Amino acid sequence: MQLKAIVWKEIKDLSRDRKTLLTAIIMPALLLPLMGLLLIAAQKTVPVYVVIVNEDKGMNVPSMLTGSFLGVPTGNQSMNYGSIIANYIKKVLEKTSSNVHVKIVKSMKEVKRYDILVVIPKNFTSTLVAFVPENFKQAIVKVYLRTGPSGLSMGTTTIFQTIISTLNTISTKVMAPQRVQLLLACCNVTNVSPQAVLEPIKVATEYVNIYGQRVSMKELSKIMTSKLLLFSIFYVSMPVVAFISDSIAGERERKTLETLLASPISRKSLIFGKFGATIVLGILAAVADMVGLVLYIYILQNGLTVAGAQAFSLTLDPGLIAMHGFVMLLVVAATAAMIMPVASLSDNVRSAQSLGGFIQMIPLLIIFYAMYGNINALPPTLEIFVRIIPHTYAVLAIDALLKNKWIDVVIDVILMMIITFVYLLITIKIFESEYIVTGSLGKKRRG
Amino acid sequence: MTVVEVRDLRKVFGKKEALRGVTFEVKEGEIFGLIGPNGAGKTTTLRIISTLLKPTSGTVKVYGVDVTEKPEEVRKMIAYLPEESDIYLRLTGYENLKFYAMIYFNDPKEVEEAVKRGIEISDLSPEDLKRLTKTYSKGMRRRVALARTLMVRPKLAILDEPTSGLDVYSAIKVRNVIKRFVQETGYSVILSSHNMLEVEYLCDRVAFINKGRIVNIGKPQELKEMYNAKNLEEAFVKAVEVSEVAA
Repeated sequence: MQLKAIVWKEIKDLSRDRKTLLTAIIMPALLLPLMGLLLIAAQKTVPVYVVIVNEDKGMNVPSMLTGSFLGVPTGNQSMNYGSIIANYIKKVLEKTSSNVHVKIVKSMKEVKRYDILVVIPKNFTSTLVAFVPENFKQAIVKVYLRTGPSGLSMGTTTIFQTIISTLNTISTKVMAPQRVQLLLACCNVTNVSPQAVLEPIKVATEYVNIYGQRVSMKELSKIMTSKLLLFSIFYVSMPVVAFISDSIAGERERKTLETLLASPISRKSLIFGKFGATIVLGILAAVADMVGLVLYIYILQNGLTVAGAQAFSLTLDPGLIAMHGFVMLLVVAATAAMIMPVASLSDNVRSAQSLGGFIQMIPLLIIFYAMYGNINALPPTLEIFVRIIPHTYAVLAIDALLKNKWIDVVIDVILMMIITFVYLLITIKIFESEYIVTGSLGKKRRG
Repeated sequence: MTVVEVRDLRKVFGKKEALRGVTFEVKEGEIFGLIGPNGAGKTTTLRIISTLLKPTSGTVKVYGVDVTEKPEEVRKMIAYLPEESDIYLRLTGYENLKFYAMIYFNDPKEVEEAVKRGIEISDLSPEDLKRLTKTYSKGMRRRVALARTLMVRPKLAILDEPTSGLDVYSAIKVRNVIKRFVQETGYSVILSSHNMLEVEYLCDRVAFINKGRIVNIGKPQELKEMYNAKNLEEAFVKAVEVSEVAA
């Protein structure tokens, strides 16, 4: 009944604490979807103006180049490669984004407003089709990206990268083999693959898991998604600090603690009751976080342009999302347990929040490190320190999950729970001592 | 029957000796007052009886149970109202009472009965009971705090400055509630106060405490006669003077 009383009181109290509810539930549910929408807005709502200045005069293409160039029949006639490329880029860009405005002009004088300017020079075709080895030169296309005081928009950057990538593809996949073929013909060499000349060493990369099995792009995307998900630990644990500070240091500040401590309720019931209420908050925060996450990935996958979506290659994997939710719940519990001793020794909510925020930085730094490094590869002394922080096991559990090492997942989760429990025992010890009444952090004793 | 037995109680905080051998007893059905200036050791004494602090030396027993050895047993018999103790401001008056009743009783019927007593003691209207207590006046909050202390019918109610900061009308209400509690239950109350008028009105016996020592103990009338004083305040001042001269 006593434990029930504490949980009942804390939940009643929490349900009326709008600030904590806002930061614990509304923020995670809204923040990620809003970030997704903002990304789309950044890419889609800001129009990107591309001007392609085609100054190319064109020329008669030698008969040996009979065939087609980017789908346009070529050979034995006057051709303007600049025009073909300009139209090809325009088609690619319009397919990539609906908010891009591409204009092809013949002279720089016609250029008024642009975000990206592509300049194809006068001698472009002649340089390109000078299929006499002695005249081989590089045909230069200049691409200008306009920067401003507000920086570059995501849409502009994506379009810029698409243009560069398209031009590179034309150069390496279309023009280079043609030139090589011509050179080989001059040397009377036949039956040689131009690609073998262009790329004598081909680097074949493959991602594999710890068992040496091939990792698909989808799985790779899952790993990237899980790394991104670790970020949510930052804001899921934030309201926990506020809640625990209010729940424990608040009792002292509001002068309700002594009455409670002199009542028949055991210290264990008191701490576990408050911890239980935090778990309820954790469940709500984790659900809100998962909802936000699912919405975020859905928005990005469906809202971004093709190129943009590739840049944010995320996977909406049910197993990963469920595990993420579970780990978030454990993170809430671990954060609460770590903050509780600090809150117990604080005179008021503000100092508990400040100290709690400082303590919270430690697991956050570990998580940040885990995003880019490997906890298992840390020097032993640092690893011991890292391993007394329960959050470390959240990171390791997700890592083990991605490697399908289920036993490790279970071990990490159990270790996280044990360390969390140890922190709770420390809090109970503090509550059992008279320290909790006399206070240590600046509290004045009265006669 | 002896309810509280304090023997040679000492308490040291760092270098400061807060209590220097305090000894007194509280009898059943008695309202016992601890009177003294700020820093005299009243709150420390009450906190030790309430099991919140541990004595440096000496013993404190409640109904024969040592507060240091079996604090859990003692806590079942007492209810403590600290000075300036507040209530939960995001709960209604009713919820505040229910919460404390749930701590003391397992049976839902007993919880409900305790809450009924609490409502009666607090003297709040049904509308007020439904309101969040953050909208209450200081006097109303103190009445709820006192109600939650007395509604659980503790064998010993420990009240630290129960009327501190209250206006005259609220203070009178609180005093009447304390008096009625003892009359109806036959249980005991130990309280501290600065207000000599209040102590004279409420207490069967009082202990003068100064600089961590009990200066004198007796019935208010006896103490006034002993020091040939017009009121308890004068008696206290004379008692302190005598003790300091003797020391």
